[in-house]
Amino acid sequence: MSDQKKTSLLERQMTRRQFLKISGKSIAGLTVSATMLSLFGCTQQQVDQGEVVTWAMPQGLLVVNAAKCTGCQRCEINCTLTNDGVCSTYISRVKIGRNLHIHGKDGLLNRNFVYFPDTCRQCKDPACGNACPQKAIFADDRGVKKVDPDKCIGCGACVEACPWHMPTVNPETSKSSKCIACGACVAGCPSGALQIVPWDDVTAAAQEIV
Amino acid sequence: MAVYGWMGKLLRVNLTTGAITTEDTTQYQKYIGGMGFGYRIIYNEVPLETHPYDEASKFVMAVGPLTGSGVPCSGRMNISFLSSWSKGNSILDAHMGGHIGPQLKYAGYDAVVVEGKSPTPVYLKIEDDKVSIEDASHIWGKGTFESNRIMTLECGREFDTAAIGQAGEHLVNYSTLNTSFGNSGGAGIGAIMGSKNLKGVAIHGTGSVKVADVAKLQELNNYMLRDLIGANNNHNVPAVPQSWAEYSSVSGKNRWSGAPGRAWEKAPGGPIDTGEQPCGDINKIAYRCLKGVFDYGEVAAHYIVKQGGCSSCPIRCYTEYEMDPLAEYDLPVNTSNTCMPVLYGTDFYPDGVKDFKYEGDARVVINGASSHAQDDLGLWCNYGNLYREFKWLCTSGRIHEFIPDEEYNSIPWQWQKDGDPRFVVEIMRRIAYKEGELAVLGEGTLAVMEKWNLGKEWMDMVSASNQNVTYNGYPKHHGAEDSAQIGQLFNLMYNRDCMIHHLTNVAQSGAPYEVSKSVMEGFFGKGCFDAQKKYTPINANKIKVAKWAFNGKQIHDSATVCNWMWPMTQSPSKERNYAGDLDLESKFMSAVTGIDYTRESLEFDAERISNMLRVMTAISFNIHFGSKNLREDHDAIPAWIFDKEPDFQPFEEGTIKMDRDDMEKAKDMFYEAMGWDVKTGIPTRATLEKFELGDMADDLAKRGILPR
Amino acid sequence: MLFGRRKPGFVQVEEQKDPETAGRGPEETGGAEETEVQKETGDRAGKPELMSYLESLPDVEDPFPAREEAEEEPEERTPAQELADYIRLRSAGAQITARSALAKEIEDFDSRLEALVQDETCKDIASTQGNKDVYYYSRLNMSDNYAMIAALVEEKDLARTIAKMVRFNCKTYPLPTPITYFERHPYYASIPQIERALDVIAREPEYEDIQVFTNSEGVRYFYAEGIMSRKYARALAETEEFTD
Repeated sequence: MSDQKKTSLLERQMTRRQFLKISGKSIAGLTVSATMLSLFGCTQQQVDQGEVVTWAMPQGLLVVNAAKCTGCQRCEINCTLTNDGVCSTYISRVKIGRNLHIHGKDGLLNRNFVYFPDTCRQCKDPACGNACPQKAIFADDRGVKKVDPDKCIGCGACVEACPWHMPTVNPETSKSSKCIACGACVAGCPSGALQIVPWDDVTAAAQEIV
Repeated sequence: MAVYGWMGKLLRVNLTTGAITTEDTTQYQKYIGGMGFGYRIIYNEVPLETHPYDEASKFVMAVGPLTGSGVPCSGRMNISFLSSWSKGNSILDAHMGGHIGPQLKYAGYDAVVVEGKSPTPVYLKIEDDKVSIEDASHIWGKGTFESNRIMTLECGREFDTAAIGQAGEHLVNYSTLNTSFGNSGGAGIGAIMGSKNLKGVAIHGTGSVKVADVAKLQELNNYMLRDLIGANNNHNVPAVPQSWAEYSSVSGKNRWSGAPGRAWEKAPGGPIDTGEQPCGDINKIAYRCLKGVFDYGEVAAHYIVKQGGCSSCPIRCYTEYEMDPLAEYDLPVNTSNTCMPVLYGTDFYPDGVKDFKYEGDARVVINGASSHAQDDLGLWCNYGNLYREFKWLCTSGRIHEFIPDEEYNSIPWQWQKDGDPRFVVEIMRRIAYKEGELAVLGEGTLAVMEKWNLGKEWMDMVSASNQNVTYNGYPKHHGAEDSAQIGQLFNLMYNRDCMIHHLTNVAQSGAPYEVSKSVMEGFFGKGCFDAQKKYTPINANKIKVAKWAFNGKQIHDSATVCNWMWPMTQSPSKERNYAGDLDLESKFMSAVTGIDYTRESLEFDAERISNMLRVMTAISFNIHFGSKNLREDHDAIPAWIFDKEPDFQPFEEGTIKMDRDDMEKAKDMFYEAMGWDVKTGIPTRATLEKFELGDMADDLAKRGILPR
Repeated sequence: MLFGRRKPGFVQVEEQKDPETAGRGPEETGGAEETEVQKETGDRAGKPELMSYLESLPDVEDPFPAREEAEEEPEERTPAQELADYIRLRSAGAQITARSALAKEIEDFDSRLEALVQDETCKDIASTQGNKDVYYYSRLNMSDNYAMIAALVEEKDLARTIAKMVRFNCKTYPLPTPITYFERHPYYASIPQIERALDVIAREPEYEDIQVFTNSEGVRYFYAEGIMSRKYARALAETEEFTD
């Protein structure tokens, strides 16, 4: 689609601003056009049943489809290999391991197959950053909230403050590990449960409807 | 000492004294990890005279440098111990998938050595360097799923747990250790743990596996996922035609069973079509294996929620079902398994089963009940011998010879006639609780033969219920039917079913014979790979293949990577002429550990483990039977393998019936290639010293069984 | 301790929902809780469309700055290249494209095709000859063998399809073909349709090499005489019982 229908920078920004309004919310209760559904790789029924959540990210729309997650942890593996140079589940910035077995009423040990990754919301008013006594969490030139390792003292205030406990203090480095929207988890997801749709494509699909 | 790949440390837990210590593992690195660590530690520490359930017996849970390193399909853990049920009570392994192996690495350990015996039921809690022995008296008596749930609630939801069930507690030889997914390690590990009053383990690690060359590892990951990996068992063509693919499986039956129109029909939010999954598209790999449809046909899709599996593996081979008809029988409806327990539950109903909700769903639903029960009880099946022997009991007309009337009359036979799923659950419960004479089935194939006076001829008979590949008490696990003499040879080597998938993965891939042959001949030379049911006499290149597969299995269980997926022999890529990459294990080993491995050097290390297996087996057979000859006493082949299919002669088009003289010649050539004495099949001193196993040569010499 | 490693001295923070980002938090369980969007839109029957709903919401601040990326100009496509693009698009969707259909839609089809054949950038476009038509596809997205199958399916001559594929499978793999092969994707033939085709095969001399037998599990198989012996075909149709 990108090749056929280039959208302008302004249009892409407009689309992003629209999606920012519901960033992180389930889009249940809305009708989604066929083009948009195919772009998101989901069905209207999945939308209706709250399986699909979207997040406005700088590079595109992150679509998380819980029904597609198979629990393989490749998101955690790719996150930590890319960002930490080691392989780990605990310090991963995307988190599925902790949801596999017991997750509220869900998880394998509750004998159901509901498990899916938690992702960083890149909140515009980030609780993690606000709580940091060192002001170590800053927005980069793309607007992504990152940890400055020189300032971070590994106190864990960001872990506590985040309502979803997405950052983790790496016990080996005593620094907070927090999502930098690098997209490694998405690129390696073998089931497409995590997907980033470029703003260009979302915009083109939106224009088709309007 | 922390190094790349390995964690550099093992944990030793003595359940008698409660002592918990750690040791440096650098000295063991030449044994790779997993199985190699386990064999060296058991050999050094447990006299092979020891009874497997004795307090002096030990078991070793071990992982390897690739476990949890991010290498695809590296989520496995190996557990080594002495056999309670196969001939010679020698060394064997339980292997398990899931997520717990990588957790052990992240907690900081390459292995856990468990010794002694706790006075009361306990479980082992490992959280990084905080290791404790916890009370398990409130869990004892419960099934594996509930036990895992309680341990997880107590320890925290980041923990991965594994528990034994009632079978292990009752010291049933056929017993397993199970995770929350139903991943299990078998071979009797349940009772080994049960004999130590150890109910389970709970592990959480906040650490990491250090990787020497991360960029190289990521490059290899992408290479493997784009160009090499197929579906489950690395089948490299889809089961039904897909538009990007040149070939598909003509039978329609291989493990690349995801296809347009086939869906996870019970997914929350409606069916998810598995669609096409082209070679090179990393984000669709998880839809390649739709295992339930491979197992039962398309009817299974009605009950599929999604596919699951092990940590790090993009091939999801555990079908996760919601089988609502089971609710009517008060049985759990959510079940998942991928292996034997989910395939042969209908063997408990020799007169047939009845459909529940859809045409042809009887097999699906009955297996849902049987696999859940078996996993919950922690009961092992010895690669199907449990089912085969129960079926034989029912159909041979001899059940009254072995089962007393009172017990016979207490069995709910009406449920069997009705196709009621509770029948299989009840039979498994009796075996797991060691109730009555029926429980002999859970003691092992050898126990059945001996206690019921069936004689050696019971293993010689030509019958679907007899798959015994030696006289040692275990069946073939992909043998001659896939690779003629090659499969038959490596099936003889272990003290349990061999679990080698090197050849079946190629033979059953669905690719045209000429395509697979050219791939295999490219690696091993002319004549190394026979067409299906059209095999040729043994030759030197087939021996090369047999040696590669036998040693290769040791690589996989030591590194650890999954032998269902590895090696990457074939590829789905037309550009590669469907050839995989047999150097890939060593490339990953180099990238992760920083040590320069080649395929040759890694296979050399694996051959060291093969020789440890052989030496320990020879010593056990000598201890228990005074045997001085493994060729005759361990590697003997039952008659049915040569006598089946009377309409065919060996080597005739259409059969895999073996030829006695040809198989003896194959053994000669294989022992010779392994550096073993041809007459006895026992390693020579020269061979053992080549692998720095001089101490084992001395031991053989001391016992008078070192070949001269 | 549920989530992270908490340092001593930190007060446990109760689970809280940021109204801006309330969604599926780790402690929520699927659809149990009504989402913000549902609350605002109310009646599910009159579900608003996503984009118009977004339009109706008050504007929010965009935390991500605008970034000028290098825009590559989409290159001009020749009519032949546009034709190739169309064939590629259909191939990507597992569709072959019939010559007759193209000729009907495109006035200058012949000259476009001629240009396409000459065009170095269109070397991936290939064709397969059916009984009734020629079919185009792109080798970037579709294999030659699948194009052959798709053409057979397109022409709906099941007897010919069965004969051609039975011979092909016998020769290529070499294997006998079970009847179930034709029930599956992309053939989707029903048993009554297959029965009618088998009548034709039994009758027509051009199909006299196609042989049928039933294996021990009651499944019918086909093979092509002259390519494979009956004994071998029967043996190959017996599957191993234990296959895991």
